Amino acid sequence: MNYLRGVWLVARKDLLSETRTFERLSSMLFLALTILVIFNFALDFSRWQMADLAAGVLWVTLPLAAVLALHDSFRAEREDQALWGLLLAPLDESAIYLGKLLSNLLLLLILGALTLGLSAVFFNFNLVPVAAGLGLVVLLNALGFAALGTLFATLSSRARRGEVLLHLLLLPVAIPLILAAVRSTTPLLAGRGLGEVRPWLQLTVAMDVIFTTAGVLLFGYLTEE
Amino acid sequence: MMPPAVRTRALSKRYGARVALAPLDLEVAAGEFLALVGPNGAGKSTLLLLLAALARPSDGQAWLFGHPVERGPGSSAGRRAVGYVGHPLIAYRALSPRQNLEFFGRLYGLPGLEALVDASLARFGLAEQADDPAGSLSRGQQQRLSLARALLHEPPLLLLDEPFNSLDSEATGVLSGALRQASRAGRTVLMATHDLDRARELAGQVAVLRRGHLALRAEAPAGAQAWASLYRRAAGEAGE
Repeated sequence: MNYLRGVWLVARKDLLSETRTFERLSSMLFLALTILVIFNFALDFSRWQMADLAAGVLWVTLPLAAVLALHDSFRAEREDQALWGLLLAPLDESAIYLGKLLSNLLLLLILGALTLGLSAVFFNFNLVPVAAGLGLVVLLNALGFAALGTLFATLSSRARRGEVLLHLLLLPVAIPLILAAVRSTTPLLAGRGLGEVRPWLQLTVAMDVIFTTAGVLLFGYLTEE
Repeated sequence: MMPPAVRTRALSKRYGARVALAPLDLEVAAGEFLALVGPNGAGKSTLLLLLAALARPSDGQAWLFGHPVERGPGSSAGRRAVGYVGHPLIAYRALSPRQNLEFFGRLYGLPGLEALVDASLARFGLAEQADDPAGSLSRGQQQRLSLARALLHEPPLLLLDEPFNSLDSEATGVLSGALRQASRAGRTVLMATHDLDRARELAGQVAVLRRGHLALRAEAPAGAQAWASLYRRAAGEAGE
């Protein structure tokens, strides 16, 4: 079995399951929409810079909504031990992890795109000139979050209160990633270029590499009975 | 000389202080049908999990057809040799039986998959439910799906953990027929079961496990009385 084909088959299977119910995508989007509406009513736009507000709200919304999807990504594997079917197949364990990561990343990118669009409406900013820069920030941070979240979801899916455990594990460890995202987003929304946020993007890439490598190395141990 | 289908040397598993399987030496020749019997907690399921590489042994080693049982890169030859059916469904509830079989078939790189899946669905009586979500199937149908998945890549070794649990008579008949057919086709079968009647009907060899130890390994006797007496003697105290 070609390694990359194995990765794609696992990701494709997850996306196919999602299209049968749209459970994960719809729950993420409803949570994101709820948070954005609440902030939109709660915040006084005359007292704060729009870029500061929007960056903060965006990066509260995305991680919280993402945790929902990440937890559910492993629920289907543990329910009826479908994961055993993957582990029995002639497929490297790291390919299973990367396949799950890829499907989670694609869902987070859909969430990110829709949340950015909604944020532009609620916070009244023009998305077009900043779309490329913000898109890159969302992509890099979603990758780190998906890498870390897929790893922790593997672990927490074994626990009775897995969703609580996932929040407790994931959010504290992901704080550097979220801070880097906020620090990258604010200048971009204020109209400054990518050059200004380069150190934060480099930090994010480093965290992406570390989290993905950790997932590739540890996934096999976390899936043993 | 052909290596045995299953060979273990001092294979053991502990969960903390609890010994799930004491060091076990076992050989099963290719083509044998071995019934693993014993009371709850005897180590039957643990042995099958270890042979399927779903659990890591605390000590010792196992080989399937001469290939070491292990996970990670380079272990695909051993994995291709195994078809595993356990208590759980080992399939995706949201996907249909057809989608499940196609997915697992692609993981094994099986050629002519569409025709193979159609034939498998028909063989296990799932053609009518082929496009329903697997979660909506009855327990018997789910068990048939599990067996269809395990046999799809035609593995030479079947590891079955209580495959007849909670099955209706129709599903039991289908499963018994499939196992007889697999055995006639020369596949090696290790079946953990509490059902002595079913074991007597299918198996040519019997191993009795008790509290993680191999208490007996013998040719399966003929007759229900002989089976019951052999089991009582090996499994020890009444009630176990």
